[in-house]
Amino acid sequence: MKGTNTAAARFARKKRNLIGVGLALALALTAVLADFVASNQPILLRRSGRLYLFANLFDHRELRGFDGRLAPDEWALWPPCRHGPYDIPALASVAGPFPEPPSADHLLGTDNEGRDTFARLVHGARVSLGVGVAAALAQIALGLAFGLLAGYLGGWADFLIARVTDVLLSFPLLLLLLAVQGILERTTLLSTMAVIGLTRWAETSRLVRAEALRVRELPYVEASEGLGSSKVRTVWRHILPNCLSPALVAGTLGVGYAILLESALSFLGFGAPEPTASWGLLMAEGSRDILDPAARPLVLAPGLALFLIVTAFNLIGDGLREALDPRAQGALDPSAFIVSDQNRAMSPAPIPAGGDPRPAA
Amino acid sequence: MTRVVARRLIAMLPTVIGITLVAFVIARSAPGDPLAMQGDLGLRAGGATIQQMREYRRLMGLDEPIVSGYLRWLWHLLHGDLGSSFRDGRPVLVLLAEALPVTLLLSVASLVLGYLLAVPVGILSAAKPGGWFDRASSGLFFALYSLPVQWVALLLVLCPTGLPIHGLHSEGERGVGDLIAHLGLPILCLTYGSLAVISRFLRSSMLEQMGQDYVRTARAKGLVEAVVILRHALPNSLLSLITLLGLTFPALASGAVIVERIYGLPGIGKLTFDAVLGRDVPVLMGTVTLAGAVTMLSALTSDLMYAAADPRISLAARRP
Repeated sequence: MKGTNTAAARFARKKRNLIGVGLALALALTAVLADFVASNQPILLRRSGRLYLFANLFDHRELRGFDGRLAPDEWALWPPCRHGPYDIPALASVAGPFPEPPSADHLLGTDNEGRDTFARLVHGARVSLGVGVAAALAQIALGLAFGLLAGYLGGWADFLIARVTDVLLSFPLLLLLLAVQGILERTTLLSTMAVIGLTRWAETSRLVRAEALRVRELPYVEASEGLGSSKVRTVWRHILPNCLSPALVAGTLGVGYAILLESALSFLGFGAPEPTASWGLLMAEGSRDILDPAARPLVLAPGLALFLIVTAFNLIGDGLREALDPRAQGALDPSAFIVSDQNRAMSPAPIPAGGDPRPAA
Repeated sequence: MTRVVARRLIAMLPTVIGITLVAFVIARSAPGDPLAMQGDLGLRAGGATIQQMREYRRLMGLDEPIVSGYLRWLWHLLHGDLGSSFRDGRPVLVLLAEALPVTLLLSVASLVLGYLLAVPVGILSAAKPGGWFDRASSGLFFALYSLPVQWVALLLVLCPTGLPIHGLHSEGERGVGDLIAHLGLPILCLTYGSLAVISRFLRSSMLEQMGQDYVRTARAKGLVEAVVILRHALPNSLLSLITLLGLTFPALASGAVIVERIYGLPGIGKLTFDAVLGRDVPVLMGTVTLAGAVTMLSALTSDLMYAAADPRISLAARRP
């Protein structure tokens, strides 16, 4: 492997890239296996003469009233945490006032309604990763489509798309998302996913457009056109592959940013609806009785999880950028903070403001 | 210069239309049918009576076909008439004028603080790229960059900092010192995330300058490294930071929505949040339009400042 200089090798050479991948994988695994970490039903159960496999995944009608008490000849294999994310304790078993402080039964205590914070935290990884990945995929797809259209076709298509991206980038994103979510009759996880995914493509589309403009003037594209390939074929076979790397980098960084946006919207009460186990909602609940020490885990734990997951994707995105473009200094993606006009923020070299990056024909 | 400014303003016209159109469409899509406002939504609509809402929708063209309705709302906007809040009947323009200074104060203070902290770090990092300071500071700033703002804001509330955590002023106080104390934590929340962006931007810009011929010349004539960096490379790199300046506003305004909510500051962010919560469509329309306009103006200002500061840049350079 030494001496190879593919993008993958360059990526794998940096320790922090691998840390990022490891973190992301760990959290993805948590999300996928959430029911095996925290569930109110056992993984394996022997009860009244029957063997139930994965009762934590599948709903068995006979087990609906099952409270975990077992006869001497029955046995069960439980997940480490024996609470589901939505379990509200029956009135009879209420231990004390909510939120409860951490205990042996509730590792991180409970929220205001007695739901186990650890279980909600683990299941919250699904919400965050789901929204993050879905929004990033939308961002990549729309960014590629509009960027290629603008860059390759030019003319009216370019003008229109440029104006739309101008407008999209003119709004403080969270404020715009809040306004859009606010006029919906009620917000859902899907609407949250959609508004984030549909507003984040502008920056990507600009990057793709710039790349498409550069590539379409290259001799091999001209050669291919000279040989009679159609516009669709030229774009698909020759221009698109070159635009994939900037889109991929923007998309990876976009996952982290989308996750932050979802948590912010949910924190404000206009993202994931109750009782979704969203980290933003957990923090909102914890912030309501912020001065109660028993509520601290509700604020601290989801925030830490968010920090780890966002760091992971930022590390990967930054590493990908360096690996895919050896010339880059690995500058942080300013798009997460900044709306860049003409992408000037991407390159420190002075570019005439308002100048057209298109080479003079 | 006047011609340049005029040209830029004209080029912005489509964006202005787009921004106002977005605000209009949002307001138009809000449930305005009194029947839809019954029950839960009716409760959330605050003090608005159905009569008031009907009146507003008629006046602002929200009931008309989209084109004529939009033109009617634009007409009102150009006359500075944004309607009145459903909640307390006060003119939206007055509410905006009260809230904007708070958010601007927060943003400007956090911008200044961000540059004060990040610029020296960027310079030191560029002086010895790959050195311990470079690696430590970039690691720290990278971590800060990934911190969710609502978490940091809540952590600062929990920390015994001794600083006030709510509002602009304490009971009965009106002093400047009191105001600064109240803004301390919010400003911190808005600043930490931008440190990585500014310092990294400056660092890579400095490194690029350090490879230039004039820097080699400066070194060749025997100047001390510190002079080479501070007198020769730095000024050129600082120029490029101006572009970053105008582009930071939208990020700050996004952060302000959360920070103002947590610290109870009466700025644009809180106004927007309250408007959404109370379904106060006129106010929402006002804040969305204002946020878009301010962002656009800040980008314009930084472009013009850049052009004024750097003679190599000409805004009129576009080929015919």
